[in-house]
Amino acid sequence: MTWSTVRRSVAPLVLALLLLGLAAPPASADSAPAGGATAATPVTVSADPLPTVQINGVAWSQVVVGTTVYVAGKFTRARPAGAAAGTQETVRNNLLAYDIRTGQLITSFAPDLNAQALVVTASPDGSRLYVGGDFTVANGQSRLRVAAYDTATGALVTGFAPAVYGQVRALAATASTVYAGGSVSSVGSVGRNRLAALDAATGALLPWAPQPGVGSTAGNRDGSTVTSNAVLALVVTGGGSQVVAAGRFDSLNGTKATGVGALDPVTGATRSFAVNRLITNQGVNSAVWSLSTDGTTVWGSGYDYYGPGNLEGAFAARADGGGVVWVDDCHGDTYSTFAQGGALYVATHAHDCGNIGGYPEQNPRVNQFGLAFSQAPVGTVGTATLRNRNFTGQPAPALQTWFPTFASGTVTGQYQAGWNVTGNAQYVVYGGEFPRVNGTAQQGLVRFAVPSAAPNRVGPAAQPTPTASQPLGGAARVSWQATSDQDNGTLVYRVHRDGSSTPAYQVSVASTWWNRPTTSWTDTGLADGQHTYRVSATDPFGNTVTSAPVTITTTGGTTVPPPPTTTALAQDSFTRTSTAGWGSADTGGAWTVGSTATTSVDGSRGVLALPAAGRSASASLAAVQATDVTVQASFATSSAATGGGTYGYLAARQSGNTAYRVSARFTTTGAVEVALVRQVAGVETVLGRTTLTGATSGVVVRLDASGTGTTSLQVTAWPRGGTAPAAPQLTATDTQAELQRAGAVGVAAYLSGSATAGTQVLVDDLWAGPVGTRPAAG
Amino acid sequence: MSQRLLLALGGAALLVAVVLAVVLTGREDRPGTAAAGSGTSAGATRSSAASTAATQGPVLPSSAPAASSAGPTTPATTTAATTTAAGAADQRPAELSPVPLDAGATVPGVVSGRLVAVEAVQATGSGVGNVSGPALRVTVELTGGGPELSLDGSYVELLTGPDLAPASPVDDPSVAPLQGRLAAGGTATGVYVFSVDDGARGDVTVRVQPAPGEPFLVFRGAAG
Repeated sequence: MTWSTVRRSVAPLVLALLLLGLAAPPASADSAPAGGATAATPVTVSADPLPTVQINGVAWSQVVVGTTVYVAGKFTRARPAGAAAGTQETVRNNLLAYDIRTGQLITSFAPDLNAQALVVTASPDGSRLYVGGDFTVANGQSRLRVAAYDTATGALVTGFAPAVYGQVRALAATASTVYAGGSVSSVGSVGRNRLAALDAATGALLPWAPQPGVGSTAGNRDGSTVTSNAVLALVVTGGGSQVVAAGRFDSLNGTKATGVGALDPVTGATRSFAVNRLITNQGVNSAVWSLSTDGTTVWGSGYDYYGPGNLEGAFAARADGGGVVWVDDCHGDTYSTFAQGGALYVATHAHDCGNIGGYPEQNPRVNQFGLAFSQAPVGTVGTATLRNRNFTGQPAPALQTWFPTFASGTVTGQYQAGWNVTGNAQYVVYGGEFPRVNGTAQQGLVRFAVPSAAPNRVGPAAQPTPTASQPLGGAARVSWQATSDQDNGTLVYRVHRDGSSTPAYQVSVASTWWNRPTTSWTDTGLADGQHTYRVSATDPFGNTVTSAPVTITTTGGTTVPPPPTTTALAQDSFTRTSTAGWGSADTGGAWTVGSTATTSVDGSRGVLALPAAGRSASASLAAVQATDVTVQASFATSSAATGGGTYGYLAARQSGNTAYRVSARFTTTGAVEVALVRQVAGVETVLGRTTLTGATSGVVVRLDASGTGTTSLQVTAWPRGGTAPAAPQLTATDTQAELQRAGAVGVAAYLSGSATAGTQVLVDDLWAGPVGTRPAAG
Repeated sequence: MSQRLLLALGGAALLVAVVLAVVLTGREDRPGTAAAGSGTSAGATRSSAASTAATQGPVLPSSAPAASSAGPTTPATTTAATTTAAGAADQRPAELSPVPLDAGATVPGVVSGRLVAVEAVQATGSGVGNVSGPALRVTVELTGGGPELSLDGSYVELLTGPDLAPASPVDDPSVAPLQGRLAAGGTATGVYVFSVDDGARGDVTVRVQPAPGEPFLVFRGAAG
């Protein structure tokens, strides 16, 4: 079964509709989501970096027990927040604890390891801390790479001292058993293949001995023929009823299990873990780095560097069976994950999230070291996946508007920032090698808090820089590009005229650091003379930046009548620019686009890019919810149609992929085929069809929808630049139950699967108003 | 940046190691009851004494390297502590007494080994636990001396100083651990990289365990 088979056997329009319904939403949520928290837009922690004890090395792993954060790594000294390197230091060799509420070192816990620690975890009841790594001595006692501490007393546990040979990278604990993974070759004098289980009470080796196996080296693009079955992460799920392991292996007990797999906690037998049939990370050049869990969902993260791996972001899978919940197909190694409050936080250096509707690759490259995603699947993974298409079409999370800035460090020579993220219900804590967070010196460790416990002082990144012009007599047009905010996706802009403290205009605009739309507002009825305007931007917590004044001298104010008032529900002339997404309409709020990679505004038109046959693009105004509505827009294409043609769509009463729509198919003959379509859950029914000729510079289509129970529909279409016919060409009534309600206004485009060249659909003069009304300009 | 330091290996100085070997069989290392330091940690701190004891199992005498004997070595009088019975998990493997870095060592009837090279390199690591920078790259060669042996369970570590402080391994691209099966008379080579600062190379201990439970071959000397 191949895609081309589908393409030949099904009408392309239907495919387009199916595709459009799957498009991922844009980033939106933050520490105060506009419209409130939803599964797609959970409330994140704020981006304020909170003062935290610092280290003189690197933190590799953290675990929180109650309000105590235990940090394992490679360091020798701790110092308070704000202290310069080398000052106010306290000796802490490779393991320390601090209070998650204050960020202060816990002085009563003073462990001492003679080499780096790579992993810490806690017993389920929090009474014990287990630490693993390269050390051989803990608190002066022999401890071969694994040790246990009593969290109540801080003392080394005397009865737990297994002799583990080989680096310990992973630990997971139940009340009775400690599972260890890494490069382990033996415990005492008994061989183990990277995995071992130890009795929590005595440290005795248990019979559990799963066999991770190596995979092919054929996928190594650097020619390496070295293999590895190292285990890099372990979690227990379901209250200890299962162990999930991750790392460089390609099989478990002879069963194919690439990068991650599930094991029986007693017998070590392999259990099905479906996501490992999609992941191709294995070997010395790619792996699944990390795992975290809430007991029922497992999150993992991966990397690839000249290997066969296809996962550089994170995945979410059901603990029971490993079925995919979502794949975060951001590109850039991802080291650690932590789930809190409906969001998943990651430590990463992701530089391209364009394939799930997030920020595209920047030039020069921008690495984000801390990101948050919705725990809920919201969109789908696009086609720009790494190495293979295994993840294309899988559910994807929504990237959240949470972008603290970590400076990369120099401790490891790998120029990373965060290596680990964890937390509790109120805090998210990062550990790594970063020297600064949001520009403030804060080395190695940092905390972030939920808004109720945070200062919420991170505001708009920069003041707007408006310009002013006179578009007509007695009027001033004020234009500004949106700024952005590290933890709020929507900012309120206020325009103040002539020094007034009362804004003459205010508007909410969605923006991100990579997509800052330009807004224009026209102030009319001005007295002749000089006017000044300031534009402020304010986040939901009241953090405000205000522009310098911009001055304009207007004339002709007495000779020109004020422009007609409009009753438009939506209006967009696209006189702004945006390289990713459509920004906000002149009226009607922010555009929700299917992908920022295929939507842009070029200063005069909204562009829906169709880079290849079978591709689609879409944009909608979710805030415009109307039942009795007229929608109108013009469509043109950037190049002549090829193959089965190029489609533009105009939708009313849209919700997901259910809508009344007009399609305009630009054909190779130059004719435009206009159809009235009922679309329900992606399945379309054509209610009428007509052909328009002479539309060489595009077509204007208008759809009137009115009534519920029985909806009356009218379609009027005419060549762009021409005049509208007096009577609609298509009329129909429809009683489809799903469509007897209000919905959004939207546009979309699709390039037929048989097209031979990519193109663009260009949208202009979009307008929506109460049914029967018309745009002021006709 | 790689500077080859050491070891165009000859077969000298081996007898000295044999003579100096001290047999400490049967000593059980229990946490909290660290024995007094062995000869290498004289004058060391409490911590160093503990660590020395901690890292070592029973010490066996070193034997001549297989390279200097024709074919597989004959069974030796010293029996390797290849315990496999129940309770083995609690028993730390024995180790041969140290030989110089450029010497050879043999577990009779099992394997002989030597360090082909110990080189100063600038390692490039990736991922958790890895620190790029000054490192020693150790090339280990094992020669089969008995029944065919799987090297997939082999283990190589590097420690520094009288305290035997562990050096962390680095997943450098040049790393190629011992793998596969080693037949009698056959040889296998593995490459390992460990983070070791310039100042810590005066006393380097490399310990090579050919398979779980087998004694460690121990090489010790200055690498810089």
